[in-house]
Amino acid sequence: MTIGEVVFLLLGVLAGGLVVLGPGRRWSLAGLVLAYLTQALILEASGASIAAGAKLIAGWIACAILFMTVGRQPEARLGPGSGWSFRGLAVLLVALAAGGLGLNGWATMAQIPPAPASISGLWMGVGLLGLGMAGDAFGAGVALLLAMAGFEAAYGLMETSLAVLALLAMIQVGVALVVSYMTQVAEARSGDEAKSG
Amino acid sequence: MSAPMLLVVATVLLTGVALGMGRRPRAMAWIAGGGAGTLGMAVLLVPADASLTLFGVGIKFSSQVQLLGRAMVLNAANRGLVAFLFLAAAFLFLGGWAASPGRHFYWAGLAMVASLACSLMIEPFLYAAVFLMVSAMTGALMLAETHAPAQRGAIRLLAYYTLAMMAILLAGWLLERTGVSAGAPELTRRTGLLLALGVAVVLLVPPFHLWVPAAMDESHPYNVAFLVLLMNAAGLFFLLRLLEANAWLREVPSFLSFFRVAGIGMVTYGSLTGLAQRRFGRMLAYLAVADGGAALVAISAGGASGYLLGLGLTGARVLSLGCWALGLSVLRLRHSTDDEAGMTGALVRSPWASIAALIGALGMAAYPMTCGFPGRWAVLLGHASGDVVAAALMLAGGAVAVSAVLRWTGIMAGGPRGREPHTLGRGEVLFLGGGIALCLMVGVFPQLLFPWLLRAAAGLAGLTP
Repeated sequence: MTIGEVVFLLLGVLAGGLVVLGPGRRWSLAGLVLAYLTQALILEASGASIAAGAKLIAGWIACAILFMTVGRQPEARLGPGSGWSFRGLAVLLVALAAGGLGLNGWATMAQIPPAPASISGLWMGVGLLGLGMAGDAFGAGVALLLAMAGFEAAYGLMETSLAVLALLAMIQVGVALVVSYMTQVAEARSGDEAKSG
Repeated sequence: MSAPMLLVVATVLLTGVALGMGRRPRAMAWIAGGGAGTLGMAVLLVPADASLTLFGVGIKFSSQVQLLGRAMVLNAANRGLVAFLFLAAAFLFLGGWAASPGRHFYWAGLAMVASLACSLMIEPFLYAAVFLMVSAMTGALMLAETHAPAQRGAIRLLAYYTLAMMAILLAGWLLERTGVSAGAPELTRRTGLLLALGVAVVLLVPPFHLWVPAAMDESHPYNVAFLVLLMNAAGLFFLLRLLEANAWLREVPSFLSFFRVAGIGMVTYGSLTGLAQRRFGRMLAYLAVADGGAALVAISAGGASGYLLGLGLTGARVLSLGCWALGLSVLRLRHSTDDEAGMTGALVRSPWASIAALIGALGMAAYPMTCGFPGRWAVLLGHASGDVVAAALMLAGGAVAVSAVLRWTGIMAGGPRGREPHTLGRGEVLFLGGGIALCLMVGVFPQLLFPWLLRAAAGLAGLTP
């Protein structure tokens, strides 16, 4: 493994960890921003500059939409009783297994280099785990976007069609919009209940 | 003029009108229903790549348009299926007049129909996965109503369709780049597995059905029924096109066997779980799974008649599920809840809505004389000679589903007498009565519906004779 690949791997692990284990919504969003940056760096390193640019822009637009939804709200921090150690252990186990599976699976299927293959598997596994652990639409949405970013980190190296790239970018932004809407709906409802209760 | 582009632009314009008229839902029902119906009929009747003269002006609709290196094609192979989606949506939009669905129903529904139509028109058609994902996104918006934010159902829907998109895109890449054929067993197995996973999600094969009961608990039943009907139909069309375009897939016995076993499992599981439900709406979710399973069993039989039966069952489901959802929506408006306590005495207090819901439910359970029966009976007869166990399981599943509906009939007919009946408007009675009549008419005279469905399937030249 080259130094560049080790750096990608470290960035990927940090991004995945922040999204699922971040102590608040803004930390999760920061992890997602980092994930899109890592994804773009991976694609750029393999010579897919247009894909890298498109995915970085679309990904950060998705993050901006989500930030606008929760940016002004007070940060809901996880308390000591929220099972952080259990969550950490679960994420670690799933990350190791999914990273290994990704490494083998992507390499066998399409000769994807080790670093992007592992990161792809790791993000997909951790994203799906985060989806199950999330307690609200925002957490689930961010985890889903991480899983999609994981898929695209490897798929972007295989598929070069501009149309597919554009559609996948549109889906990223669309998912962010839907999650943003659902978060607002849920919070408006809980606000109404708090007023009436 | 490009027919696919014209169709998408017209639907998007209708979506814009629906967004702008959010405060007049009843007018919107007519506009969305009329618009979608007109577009569906135009797709069915106006020939592509042929010159037409309209008011003295010559017009030619080309069947293809190129977008960023991919083609959108509306030709004989898919026009029947696209028309089916538009006409089914039009039927449900019109029913929305009486069902009073959520404020996002019409515009999100139209946007969904546009993306599902794109999923049938895109070439290579495995990129349909991306459009199916777009339709899931609009579906999630439809479920997340202000008064009932169906977070679980909507999030599950998004998550499952994301999985399906990934699996189908990967399979598409393998098909396109590596030239999968029956002669390469390892590659065939891998591609087949990915395709089976993707198709299982869009056809509500358990556990990928779990978004439906969750959404049914929290969201408007009419919205959920719309989503189940259209997305399941698009999934079925996707499977048919997949089988048509990849002859090698039809030669892989394990691929069709998987769907056969899944279909029989769905009929059994859906019926049994439906019987155990304590909410009327959740029973709808599980009987829809059972009915979808019957269509899957028909298709997995492999012959032309099986494919046509699968389409026939899908067409009948539009009537039965639509009628049920309409009745249930009216009941929920008046009884506020659809649990056993809320539904007690509903048959006396809201007879039209209760009868519509029960007839629709009987149609889903394939009770004789209802629209679901002819197709299910034909599937059963097709299997009776070859696979007795499968036929017995399907028969038992149908009997359990009918028992579930009869159990709810008892609950709705029970309760104290002499309570004030709910009043319904003339329009609501007309819609409910129309739904009941259609369900029964197609059950007694299936020839009214099936020739249209044969026409929808006529383009699948690789599958039908």
